[in-house]
Amino acid sequence: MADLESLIPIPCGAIDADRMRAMPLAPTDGFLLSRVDGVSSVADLAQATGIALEDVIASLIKLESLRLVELPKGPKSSRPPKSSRPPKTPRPKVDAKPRSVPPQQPPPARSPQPPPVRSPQPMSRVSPPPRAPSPTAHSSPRPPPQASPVPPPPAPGPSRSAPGAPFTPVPSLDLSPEQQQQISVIFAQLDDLDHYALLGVERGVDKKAIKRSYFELTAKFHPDRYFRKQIGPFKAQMEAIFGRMTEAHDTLTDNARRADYDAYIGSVERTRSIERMVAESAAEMRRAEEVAAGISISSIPPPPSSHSMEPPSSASMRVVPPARPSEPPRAFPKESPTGKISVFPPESPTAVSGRPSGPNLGALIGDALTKGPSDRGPGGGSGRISIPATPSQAPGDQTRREMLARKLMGSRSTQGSVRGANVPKVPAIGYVKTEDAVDSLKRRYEEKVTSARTAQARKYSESGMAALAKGDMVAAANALRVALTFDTENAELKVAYDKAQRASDQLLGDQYLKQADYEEKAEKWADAARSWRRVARAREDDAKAHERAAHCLVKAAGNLHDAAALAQRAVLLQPKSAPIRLTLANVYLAAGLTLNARRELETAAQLAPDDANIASLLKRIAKSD
Amino acid sequence: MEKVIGIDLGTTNSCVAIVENGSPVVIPNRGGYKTTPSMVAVTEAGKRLVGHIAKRQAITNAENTVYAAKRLIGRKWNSPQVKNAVATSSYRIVEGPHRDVRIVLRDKEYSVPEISAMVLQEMKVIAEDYLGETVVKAVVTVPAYFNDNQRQATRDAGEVAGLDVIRIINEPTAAALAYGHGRNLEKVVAVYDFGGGTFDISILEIGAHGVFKVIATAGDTFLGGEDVDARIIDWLVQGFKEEHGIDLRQDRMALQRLKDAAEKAKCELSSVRETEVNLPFIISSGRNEALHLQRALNRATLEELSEDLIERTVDICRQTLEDARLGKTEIDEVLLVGGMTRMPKIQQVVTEFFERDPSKGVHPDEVVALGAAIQGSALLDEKQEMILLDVTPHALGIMTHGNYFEELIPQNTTVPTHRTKIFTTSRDNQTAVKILVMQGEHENAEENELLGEFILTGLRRATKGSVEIEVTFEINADGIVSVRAKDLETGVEQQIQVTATSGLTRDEIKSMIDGAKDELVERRTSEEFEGVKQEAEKLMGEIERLFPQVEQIVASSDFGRDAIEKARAIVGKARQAIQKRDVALVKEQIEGLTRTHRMFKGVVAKT
Repeated sequence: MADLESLIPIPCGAIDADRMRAMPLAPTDGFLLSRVDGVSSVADLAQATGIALEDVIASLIKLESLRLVELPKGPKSSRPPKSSRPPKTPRPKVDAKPRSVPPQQPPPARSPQPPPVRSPQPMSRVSPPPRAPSPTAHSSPRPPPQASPVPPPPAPGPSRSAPGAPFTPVPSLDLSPEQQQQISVIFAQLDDLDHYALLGVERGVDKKAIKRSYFELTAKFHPDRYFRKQIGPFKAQMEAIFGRMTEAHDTLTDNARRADYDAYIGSVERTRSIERMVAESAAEMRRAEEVAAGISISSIPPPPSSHSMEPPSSASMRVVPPARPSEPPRAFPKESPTGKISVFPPESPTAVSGRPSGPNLGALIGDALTKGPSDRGPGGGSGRISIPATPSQAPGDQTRREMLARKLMGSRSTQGSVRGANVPKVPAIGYVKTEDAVDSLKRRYEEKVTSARTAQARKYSESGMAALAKGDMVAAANALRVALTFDTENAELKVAYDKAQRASDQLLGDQYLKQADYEEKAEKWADAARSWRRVARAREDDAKAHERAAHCLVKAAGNLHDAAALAQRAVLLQPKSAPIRLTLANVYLAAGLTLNARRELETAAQLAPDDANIASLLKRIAKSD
Repeated sequence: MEKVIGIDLGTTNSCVAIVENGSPVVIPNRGGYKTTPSMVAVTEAGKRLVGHIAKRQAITNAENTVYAAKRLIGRKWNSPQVKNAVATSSYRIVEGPHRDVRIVLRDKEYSVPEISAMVLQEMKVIAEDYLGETVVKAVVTVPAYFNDNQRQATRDAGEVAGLDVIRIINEPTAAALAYGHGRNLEKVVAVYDFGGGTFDISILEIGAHGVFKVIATAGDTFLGGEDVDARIIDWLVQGFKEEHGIDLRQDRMALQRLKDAAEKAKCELSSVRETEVNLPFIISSGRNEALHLQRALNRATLEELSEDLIERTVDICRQTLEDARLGKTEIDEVLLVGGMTRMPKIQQVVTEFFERDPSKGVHPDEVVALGAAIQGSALLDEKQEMILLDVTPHALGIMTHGNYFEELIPQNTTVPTHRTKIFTTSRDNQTAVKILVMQGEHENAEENELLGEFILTGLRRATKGSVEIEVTFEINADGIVSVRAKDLETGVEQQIQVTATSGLTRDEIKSMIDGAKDELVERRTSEEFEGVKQEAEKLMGEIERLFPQVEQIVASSDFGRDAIEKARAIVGKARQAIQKRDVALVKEQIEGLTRTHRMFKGVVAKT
């Protein structure tokens, strides 16, 4: 049943930040809460956060109990008025009780459908609803493929979809609405298209094809097409389009410039994808930490051995969770009144959720989890534990459920199992002691997390080592860094990571170096300054990188303080270099610090007495004094 | 569709064309010539002459006949080119009120655009006579290497002539348009344009969809046939001085005759190997006798005299190929444009340089006007698929602290285009910056042409270098340059549209437009008067020639004496009518004169 997965949690309005801080939330919960947008379904959330589905559900249960999210039911149940809720501090609940629904509950009521207003496409994962781009929003544990940032280079024409606001043609112009749209669509994309995409050609095409395309587009987009016609703002747009097309043509039809450009966009793409990977692995690390933190909060003293379950099948690389002193979990209090709470008293569901009817997450959890191994979530299939669920399931499912119930509850629980389908009144809960159920839930949770962590650590260290062996230092560094967060003690991993990190810094530095060179040649000073600074960051002892960064910053009229710091570092690295001192002097001059400039120039003049530039600058300073 | 003409406003000759039924044709003038000399003169009677008649009277009215005014258009008084022209021209050149150039004709000062306007107006009239309707729109060509001031001055000239100049295009580009028009070519073409006053080389790519893209262009706006003429004149003057010890340059009339003869000899040497310069009575010896100039000139001597000029054009070609990043083998076709390319030596040099025979397909004197007409019609007719992508022949930029020229738009940039650069203040607490818009390639700003200036004020008081000003240059499809300066901190922005200075103010242009209109009315009527006057005078001459004979024959007859009296009266009346410049009256008298003439002839014949 996809019911639970397609549920759409809704955030419960603005919550006072101070109040929220006081709530018993783990970082995972907070993270998840931040993703709850009233549009994404539970499944979407699991996918977007990369948190295992069961963890998402567990979190949502907690959030729901704190009334931070609402989980709307089927169309019948409207959102309960806030006043009907119990005031003040919500009581901790054990909604996650692994027990099935009250027998009275008719199945239809338990298949919640997303409220029609909320979700236009509840199940669609192919085209998720647009959301703000966030590095974590679509991260996947795999390093991303070398995706081209270039939008597909379609034949230029109205087929290109307009980005941004919808287009409204201007009436009373000598341009048809189609022509207007065509122009404004291309105009809107000018900054995003690379030369090839703009001309609508493939990367590898020959000069002839580029020219052919350019001439064809020119015949369409040159403002002279509409000479002395009323074309309003489109004239300037056409001029801009034409200018960019000409730049593209001129660059791509010149062998040397094209080679430079290809290298440039190649390295931009590489650095972009590297940056993306870094951002993603950072997100991943954050997530891993959140998961770790979440566990430590909710972890409880080891359960009695009699209740211990079979170890996870993949225990070979078992990872010990961070050795933090476990505190009494708030969500699952050790000495809790759970014994007194009837977890799912069929006769009064209000006691649990405050809602008159309908299923709650706790009731649904079984459904979702019995669905069998899911390919979602970093945990993969390992450590997944199924929970008995509604008896309205198919027999095969039911068998499995019963088996799992036995696992969970010990042999005692088997009694509760009733063979045969469609027996609604299974009073299974009545046979299980609540304490036991809570304990086993906790254990299960912990086991699952541990095994997930083990799997994660293994997976990342494996892929990291593989990347290392292949020489893909960037991927290696990223994977190993993530692996280290799961397995903090592993010295071997640490050595490998350090090695990969150094190599990847070097590589990134090389990429930026090429980029910087190109940008400097093209006199894109601001870009060049940025690239050089990245090179300098990757190579702290590279005097030239620092010097160039300073130089380009001055040229770009950028931050002179930064420029001075960079140039000073360069001088420190190579005190005997006159050109570096000259650059520092130029920085000082640009900043109006004539005295400092003179000092540097005088030192430089001693180092290189024949340098005409230095001499003339000195003279100029002397004159201006 | 409204008619649009293409005018090749040349240094020595001008030409007008129009597209008729899809194909461009050159419009001949009333004399049947396809080109009209770009010469303007004012007669003793204050009458304005343009074209062939101006040229015909040039020798006798050298001081009041302007030739090659194009070499002065849009130039500053203190430029070396103007200095050169002052020294060698037979007409008087003086400084104008805005450091511009004025030409003195019969004690009246004319600006250069005004002189060019007279030529343009003549071309307009030629087209109107041919079409039988008024023409207002025109595309006018200029040398590719003209700067914006020179282009603007040409625009102004068009305006004074009553034309709506819809576009100014480059001469070599126009030639390529005429060459490639409607032929669906995909070729790289080099246009070697060596005209009367200027040299241009342009390399274009003719592509599919009727797109003509200029790749690179360069030239010299003071290198042309006139310079070759000057070499011949020098040679003649030098020889004459050695022989007679007299400097012919001191005599403006002799100079004009020399100029004529030099041009004629140069043209002749394109088809023959030797010619003779024969100028009898060129100057008085001072001892009451006249001296004659007679000297043979052969092709080899001419080539020697002009060798360095031709070499200069080759250097420019070489540089342009480099700028275009093209090898000689990548040029598919070489077009020769301009009268100078008739010179065998030039054809030979071009063939050697480009390693291929130049195209024979274009007429060097007419192709530019044809191209202008094609461009005009393509602009106005949306259905025509032809787009011309031209480049900026000169770099554009601003002057920065220390008199440096900071380039924003480089040479050979395809227009429309725009570029942005960020500048900072150069002094502490500087609250305003002056943006001086310049054109040229010199690092030293002062060596470049100043196009315009404006001031951006209200900058924050700060140490120098800390206030950022973003300067944006934009050239639109019409070639109009606009410059914007923006204080990046406050967002305050200043903008100008750079209307290059032709040397004339708006008011001056306006009054010139009015003046040109009056002149047009006057010219039209006086042309008619001249016609009837000539007819009447011819008849009177005939009659007076016959008088003695007729008198003798009819002496014995009273009737005959009466007839003679009557004839005398008619001639007298005709004279009076001519004196009154009354066209209708003269026409009336022509009738009487014709009858008298017939009668006289009859009398003479019968006896």
